[in-house]
Amino acid sequence: MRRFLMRRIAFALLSVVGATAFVFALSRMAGDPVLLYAKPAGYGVDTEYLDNLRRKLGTDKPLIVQYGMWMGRMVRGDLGRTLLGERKVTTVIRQKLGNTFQLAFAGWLLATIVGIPLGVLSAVKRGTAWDYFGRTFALFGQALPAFTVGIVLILIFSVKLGWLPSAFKGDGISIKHFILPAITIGWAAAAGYTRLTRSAMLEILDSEFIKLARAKGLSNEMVIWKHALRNALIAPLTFSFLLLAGLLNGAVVAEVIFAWPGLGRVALVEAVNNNDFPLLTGAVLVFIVIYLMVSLFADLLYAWIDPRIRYT
Amino acid sequence: MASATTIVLDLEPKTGWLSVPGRSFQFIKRWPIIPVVVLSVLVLGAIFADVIAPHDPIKQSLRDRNGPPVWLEGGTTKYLLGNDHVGRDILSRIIHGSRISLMVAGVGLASGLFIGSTLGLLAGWYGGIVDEIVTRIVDIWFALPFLLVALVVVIVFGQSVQTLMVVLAMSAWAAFVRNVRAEVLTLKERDYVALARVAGASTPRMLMVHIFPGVLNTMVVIATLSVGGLILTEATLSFLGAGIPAPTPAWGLMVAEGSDYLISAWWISIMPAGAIFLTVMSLNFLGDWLRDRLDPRLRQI
Repeated sequence: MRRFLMRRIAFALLSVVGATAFVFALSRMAGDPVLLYAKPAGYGVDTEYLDNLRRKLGTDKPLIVQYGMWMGRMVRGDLGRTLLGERKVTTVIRQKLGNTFQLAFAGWLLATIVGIPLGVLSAVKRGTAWDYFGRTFALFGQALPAFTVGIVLILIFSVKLGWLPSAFKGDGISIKHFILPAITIGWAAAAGYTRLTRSAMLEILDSEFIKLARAKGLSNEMVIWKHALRNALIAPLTFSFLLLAGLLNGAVVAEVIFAWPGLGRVALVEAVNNNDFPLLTGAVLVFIVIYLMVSLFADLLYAWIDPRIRYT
Repeated sequence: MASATTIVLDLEPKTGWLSVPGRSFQFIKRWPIIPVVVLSVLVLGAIFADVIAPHDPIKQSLRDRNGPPVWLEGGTTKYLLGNDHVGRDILSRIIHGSRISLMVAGVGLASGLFIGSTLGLLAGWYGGIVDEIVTRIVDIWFALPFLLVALVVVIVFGQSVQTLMVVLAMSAWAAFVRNVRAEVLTLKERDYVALARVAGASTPRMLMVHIFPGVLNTMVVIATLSVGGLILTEATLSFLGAGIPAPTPAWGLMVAEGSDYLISAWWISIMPAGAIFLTVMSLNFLGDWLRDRLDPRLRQI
């Protein structure tokens, strides 16, 4: 177990280095970041000024040295300053990550509450209207692009009915603000849950120990909820953690549609479009670290819940 | 499973008014008729777009702007699905868009399949350090926030159809590596592979003749199940402004363009969104069916 843990942590660190190096190199291929606020032919800009600027940002050094310097500061908790506005990257992340997390969590909660019971129902009542409803729900969730869901929701509930807000208007945040974005990112996730739970449940219901439980004369409820569900939940449970990490990244679309002040939207609108590389690399770093931690946790939980799985 | 169903069918009475619809219902349930029909129409439409499309997909007609589809008040049979915000015929744009969307997804998938399957085959076969490196790269890849990386790639290489194909290949390859590798790991322990080795088969021969046919099913299933996702990714990137450059008709782009006119002309967005939905749903149906037929072990995907 300890060896497994050490190995996993070592690989997680390697992944952080590999992934940030990749993004770092990629963002630098997009052109000289200095040109963002100092066009060569611009007013009052000469080569000397540009050189000073490059020295200040460190972009005059080879890429590998720059990356090394970035790593060195990163380890000490300093992610540099954004190119535009010169805010601290750590401050921006701290301000925005909470919003993204709230949204991702709302979507995750919704998906879990809807998806797992629907999957169970669909498997237990196989071939009935419930089953068809569950499967149709899953099909729609997986075939509709999230942005379409978001747009249609706004059209129906904000524009036509006027029940729910379509975006932040600076008047504080309430539970109402979460409903539409959570459905937007949660539907596809719920669809994944439903499919996963349904197939796991069907497989378990077909197994020998369920037949034994029925042969012993246990009630149907007992068999389904105590014997089958507990075993069928292993796959959806591990999936749920990776899903939460996935929703953190995937919230970008909902953040753009609903003008949600989250990290994904900042990374997209400010960092990518302006080639603001400190912000971009910082945001990517945060997303990766969260993903790796969550997947490690999911693996450990998997072994804890299902003793048949042992890590060496 | 299939044979059991057949027996049940044969026991049913051959006459009576219920038997004919009952049997055609069974037929539809057993074979993916509807998805195949939808996809055939789509592919034919994409190939013969120039002949079928009633109008030029790029030609603007400001007099007809935001024209509603034919079944709504004010709609004309000239523009069956209505016009967009600059008066272009939505139906023609959807037909031409299918060509772009299918082509981009197809090329992206083929490249991803080729790269991913090759890497998976090699990693599974050779094991050791090759396997370790490939698996680590795939792990890192899954940890990256894909949309952000895709957007940076689009900015670096410029917004074009080719860049989008590269991005889609980037989103497709890793799943092939994982599944093909796992399949090879079990296949290479089989007796017939050992026999081939004893018989003196070369490594390329063993890989191509003995291993490759065994992973083909997995590849086909993963491919069918990923096309839908690729079309969604293409649409999402277009929506975020990093997809196919305007004015080329592409479904995601059309949805994005129409989203500003939702209140006055919802059909601009909803019609292409419906096309995306139908296509992806048909592909998923087909993928599920293929998976159950060819490789039931992949059911968790």
